[in-house]
Amino acid sequence: MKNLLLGVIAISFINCTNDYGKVEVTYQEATAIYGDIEAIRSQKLNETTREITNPGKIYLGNDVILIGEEQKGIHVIDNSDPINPTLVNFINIPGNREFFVKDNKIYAETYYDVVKIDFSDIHNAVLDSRAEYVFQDLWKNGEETLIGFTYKEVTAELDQNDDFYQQVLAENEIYLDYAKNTIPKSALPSSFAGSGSKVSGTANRVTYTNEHIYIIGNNSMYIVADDSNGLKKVERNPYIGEGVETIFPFEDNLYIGSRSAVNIYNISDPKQPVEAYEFDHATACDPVLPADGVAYVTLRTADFSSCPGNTNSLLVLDTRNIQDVKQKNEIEMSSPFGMTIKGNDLYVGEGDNGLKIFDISDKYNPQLRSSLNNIKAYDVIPHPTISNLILTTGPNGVSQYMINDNNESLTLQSSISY
Amino acid sequence: MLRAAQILLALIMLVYAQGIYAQNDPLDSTYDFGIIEYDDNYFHDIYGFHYGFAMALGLDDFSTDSTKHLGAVHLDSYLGWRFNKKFSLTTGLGFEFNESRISGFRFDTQFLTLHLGGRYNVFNTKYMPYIYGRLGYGFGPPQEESLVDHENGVNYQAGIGLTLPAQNSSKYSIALAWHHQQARGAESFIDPLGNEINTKYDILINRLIIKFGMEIR
Repeated sequence: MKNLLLGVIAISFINCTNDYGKVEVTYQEATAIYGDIEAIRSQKLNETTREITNPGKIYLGNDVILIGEEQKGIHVIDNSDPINPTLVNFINIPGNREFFVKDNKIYAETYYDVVKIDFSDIHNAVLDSRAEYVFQDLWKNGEETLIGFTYKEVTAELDQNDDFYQQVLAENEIYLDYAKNTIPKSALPSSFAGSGSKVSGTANRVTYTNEHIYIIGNNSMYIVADDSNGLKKVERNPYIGEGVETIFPFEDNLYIGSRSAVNIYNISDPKQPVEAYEFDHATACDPVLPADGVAYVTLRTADFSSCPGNTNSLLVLDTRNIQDVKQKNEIEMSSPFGMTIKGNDLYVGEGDNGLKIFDISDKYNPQLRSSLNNIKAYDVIPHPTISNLILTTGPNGVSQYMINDNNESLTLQSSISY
Repeated sequence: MLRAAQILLALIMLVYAQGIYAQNDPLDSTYDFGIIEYDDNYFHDIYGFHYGFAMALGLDDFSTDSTKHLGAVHLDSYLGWRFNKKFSLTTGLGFEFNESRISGFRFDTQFLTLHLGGRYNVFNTKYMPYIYGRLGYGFGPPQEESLVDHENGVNYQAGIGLTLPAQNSSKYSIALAWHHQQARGAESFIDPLGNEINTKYDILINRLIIKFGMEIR
């Protein structure tokens, strides 16, 4: 009898280690949009001004502000009077999310292509050149081409044996944009700013230097040459690792920030970037701002975000010898995003936690000059010619501030809300 | 297949333990002293207070197939009272970590468990087989500033084990048990494609565990 009891218990052990229950999952479901790519390429470039509804990249020029409208184009704002900025044009660039500005030229990605647009006349932009199929070959469905996705939030209840999610991960084959996202859920706030030489923020995925455009995807770098014959794709896409977020050129180097490292690529030969150094750091979102012999890196994390962890700090790196980069300082921060240098001051946007100004007279040892908690800033962009004017991007729009004489406070000049 | 072989091996060892050793019969005269004594001064305690510690690992911990590997680590301490040579009751405190893979997702759960249990010694042989069960309530971790966001839940455990004799008051035991934990919770994460995924789960975790314990007095 006792042996029988033990036997029954033993049999009950077998096949009883599967978990039972249900999982409710909420995700963004993507539905492909197909269209005629040639018809899209031939669309009218200049359109009437419109409301800013889904802002993306931001550029601050001498007399102009450009604000990207995600997937649609770029708003042109006459900023000759910073107290009264005015919408004057909308440049139609279907599919665009990333762009870079140099010498009144916009370099922008649009679906499969990269375009160069001259906006010397801010009321009438002109297409200068186009490099086709930079990111991938056409993805066709019959005669139509994949040009994007629509998204809707779906909540589904899955039973214990449903393997739908693992199949989605395993069959990650369909992608479209430069970042190869199927269901992009931007890791950065939609108002994240910065695109343009000298006046850029530190969260760019596109940059221009030495007559070449460099665009970073999730793990590859795309290169487009820009010479007198127009744009031409460079048939070389160096693998640059996973989780890459930002790119910033300085002298003959590209500083590429990923979630766990800063990689420095030497571009003495612009068509063949060569990795010169890798500086590893804690996993975080990390814009990089290189300067003369120094690089400032902000590490930002938050639970349940794309940058999980508990590191929020400003790193100061000695880059005088890029073969041997050394960390010189680490300053605790609240939630650092983008930054810029203005004279001897470093401005660091802390998102909802405000804006911090550091004195970097000693560039390896920043000293906190002031904390402006009432200015919510994701990124900071200096005006290229007005030395005491900066632009900040926040959750509700962009604002222009005059830097007061004491370099410790700012006075609001104007805001563009969205 | 490997698991079935592991279980069968353990059961064979447990059920026929009393037949393996020739000196299984206790010396009857020792019952009065609260122990059962065997040859060479080996004995088992059969009356009174005792306390113990145990560590358990899930059998799926040992799987070399990454799609089937599931971590389960349990730490346990308890106080008990032996009523006679057959029955004892315990109350204890445990920490239990269980991975769960369900609907294609993997969840990690942690519980601090208070439990009540009972043990029945099936044979009073030198290597003493027993069956046991316990009922408990697992408390999830604090919700604030925690990546693990799950609620409290009932758990229970039943198993079969073997107490090894000793010449002192410290006894070792090994057991094979079936552990269940009710778990409800929510988890949000960014997946390898960069997408934000929000999940809510309501599951019953079932684990086959092997448990190593030490009892004192």
